[in-house]
Amino acid sequence: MQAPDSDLLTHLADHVLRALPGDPELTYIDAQKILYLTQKRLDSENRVAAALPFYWYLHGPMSKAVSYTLRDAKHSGVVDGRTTATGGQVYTPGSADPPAVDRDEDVVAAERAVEAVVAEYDVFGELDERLREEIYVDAPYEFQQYYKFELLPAVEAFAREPYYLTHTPEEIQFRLARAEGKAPTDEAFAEWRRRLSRFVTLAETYLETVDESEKPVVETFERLAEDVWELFAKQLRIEEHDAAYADDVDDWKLEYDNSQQSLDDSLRRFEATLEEQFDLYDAPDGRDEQSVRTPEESGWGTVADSLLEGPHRD
Amino acid sequence: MTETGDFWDTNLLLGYTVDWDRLGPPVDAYLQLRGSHRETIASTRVFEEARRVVEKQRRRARTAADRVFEQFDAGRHDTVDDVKDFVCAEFADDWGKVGPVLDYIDHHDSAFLGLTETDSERVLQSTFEEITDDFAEPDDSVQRLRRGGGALALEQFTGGLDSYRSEYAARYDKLDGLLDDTDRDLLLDSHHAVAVTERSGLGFATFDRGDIADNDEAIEACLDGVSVVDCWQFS
Repeated sequence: MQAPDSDLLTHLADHVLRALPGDPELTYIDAQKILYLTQKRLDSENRVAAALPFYWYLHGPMSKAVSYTLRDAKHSGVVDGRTTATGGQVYTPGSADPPAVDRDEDVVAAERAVEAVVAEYDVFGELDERLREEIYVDAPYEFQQYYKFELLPAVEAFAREPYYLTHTPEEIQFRLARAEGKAPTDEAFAEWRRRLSRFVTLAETYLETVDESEKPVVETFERLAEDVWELFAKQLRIEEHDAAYADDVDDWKLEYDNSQQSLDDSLRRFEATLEEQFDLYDAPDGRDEQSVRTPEESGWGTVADSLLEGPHRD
Repeated sequence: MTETGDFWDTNLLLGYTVDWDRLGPPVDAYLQLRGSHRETIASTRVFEEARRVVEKQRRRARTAADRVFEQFDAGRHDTVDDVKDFVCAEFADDWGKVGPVLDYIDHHDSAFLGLTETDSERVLQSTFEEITDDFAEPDDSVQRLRRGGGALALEQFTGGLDSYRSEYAARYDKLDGLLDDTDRDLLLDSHHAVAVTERSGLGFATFDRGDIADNDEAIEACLDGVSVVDCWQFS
């Protein structure tokens, strides 16, 4: 992406902070989302809208232009910023004046759009709630809403709770199965889909074996659920971005390949751990060759019949 | 060339996981007339591919169930054919993808019809659990075979390469023009197994006529030490 129109966007970022109610404090993610919603309200010919290209990523639409602008505005003192305990950035108005810009029709329209967005955007509520209600209504895939807001928080709660307070293993299995059913079917996601399904296979095996008193390697399970989401997001930004990011795609593909390799390694390690800890795939005593063959009524027989010739086709 | 054993293609491995009338005879006929008299091996890539096929079909069954539950516009007299028509359209009438799913719906017609009539996630969860059980069985079978379980000794060849592009460049290019990536690499696995072990040759045992058995001459000319075995010939 080319260097953003820094003065213009710094002016706009300052306007966002001043439009916020009370003592304004703005997180990095909220800054991105407010400017995304602002851009959406503007005509495509508006020069401010053209200066705000976005791509879909982990937490919804993100813009390098916004990221660079906040970094530069902090450096020049137009905004103050501090790093939170979790490593995020929080911004407040700075002591320096924003750069002077020609407040033409486009800029005035953008200022009005910022004010309208801020009036509706609940910065004091739960982040996931406002992302879900304000941002993910635009998500390209239903899968995104389900995985991010229905599966990941449940997996996190399951991993953190000493007992099954809110989520049982069966319920997590149901959510995993549903997420798999909602996976995007586009060819671009074919490689990622394989990883999702392998994760689901291993996760189901894992969840069959845990019990209430002991949830070994649950942190690994949780981390894998997040890694699958991150890999999805890395493919998503390759597919869903404004034209200004055309030059970034090759780098994004390299990042995707590296993350895919890393996830493959993690999945293999997880499977090896499961085998060590839970004696998977041991046949019950006394069972013969039939023990590896399933009957017609299993359902698999019906599917397999259709697959005998050429099962490789995607 | 003397074949000392058979290298199993994915479709033979998957066919072996099912014990019923339509799949049993062709697989059993192969075993009785040929397979049980010789060493049988499959590469890590074959076992992985078999697992992927099972996972892919499970995913599609779940996609169908989820969409029927969420999006099917229920009428008063819906039949399982209405549900199948809907699923067909959801998969853009791609028969290669939707065919096994439609067969699966026939097998669970009451469950899928039930999904059209309810908003209860409990009902969907119950259907998903049936799907989970159906697809866990073959996955378990493949994993046990991989680890030497069951009466059949199917050796796993673990020496395959991630890519054969540089190791066998000329053969790779020839097969690349003839087959899809998976078939190309499975065949090169069998060739590599001959090259790095004491074997004088391997039969590549397959039920895939359209892509592999019908191209046997070209494949055998390209891969010395490998002969294509059309497993349908034993039926």
